[in-house]
Amino acid sequence: MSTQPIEEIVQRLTRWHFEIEEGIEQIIWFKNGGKNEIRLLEVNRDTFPEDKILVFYHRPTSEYPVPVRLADITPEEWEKVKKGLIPLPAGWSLDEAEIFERNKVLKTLKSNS
Amino acid sequence: MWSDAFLAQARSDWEIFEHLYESDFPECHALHYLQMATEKLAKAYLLAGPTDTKVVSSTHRALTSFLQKVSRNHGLQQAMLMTDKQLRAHVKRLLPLAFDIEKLAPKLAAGGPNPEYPWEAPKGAFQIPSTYEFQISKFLLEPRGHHLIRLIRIVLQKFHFLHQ
Repeated sequence: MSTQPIEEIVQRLTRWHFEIEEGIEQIIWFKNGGKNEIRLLEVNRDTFPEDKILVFYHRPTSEYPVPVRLADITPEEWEKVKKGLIPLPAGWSLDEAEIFERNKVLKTLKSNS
Repeated sequence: MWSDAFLAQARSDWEIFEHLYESDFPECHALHYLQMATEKLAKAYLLAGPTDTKVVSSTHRALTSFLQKVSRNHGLQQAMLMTDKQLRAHVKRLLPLAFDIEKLAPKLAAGGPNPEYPWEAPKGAFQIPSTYEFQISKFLLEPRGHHLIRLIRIVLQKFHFLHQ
């Protein structure tokens, strides 16, 4: 198990994704994955819609030493998720979610550099 | 048909890949299945067209060729709700990663990292697949990695739709 705080790993991962993928507008971190698993939903205008959330598991690596379950959806699908028209994966809940906004994250990055 | 046989085996290999990738077994075993599943899926697609069986069975370089062809497929454009131009641009971004997956085949690894056999690098240092950290796992965690996984899943599921 990682000794790094999970918040730090999530911040690094989300920053990295915002930096390398222009189409990502928001990243939602579902905190009910606890400290043993990171659950992320990326709202990406350059992905394709399927009207469902398809999650893929990513193994821990030396850089991101916690398993990551990742899915991406279009902004239109995100609106449907918020209205309950597209279900979240089992065990994922918006009640315990934190939303990272592209502009805010990248602005913080610039002001820190 | 050869195409159906390759598709059936690709689907089975893909299931094993996902199962192993989520397990505690060394990642080399999952990556071996990722390479095999994508190669067989690519060959299934190529064999459903005019490509000769002998040409297909003798190459490990099928995935990138398959992606280039499938990027012009009208059925896939419909399935992904993309225009011709959007799909081609989408797939183009995935080609370097697809090339990395192809290179997992020992014959293409040029004596370097591969999930099946140990290799020597640098001289005198022997690398073992089961203890090696493959760069490709980080690449799969990138958004384009996720897009490639989704594309492969769609083609596996809707394979016959692509040939209507």
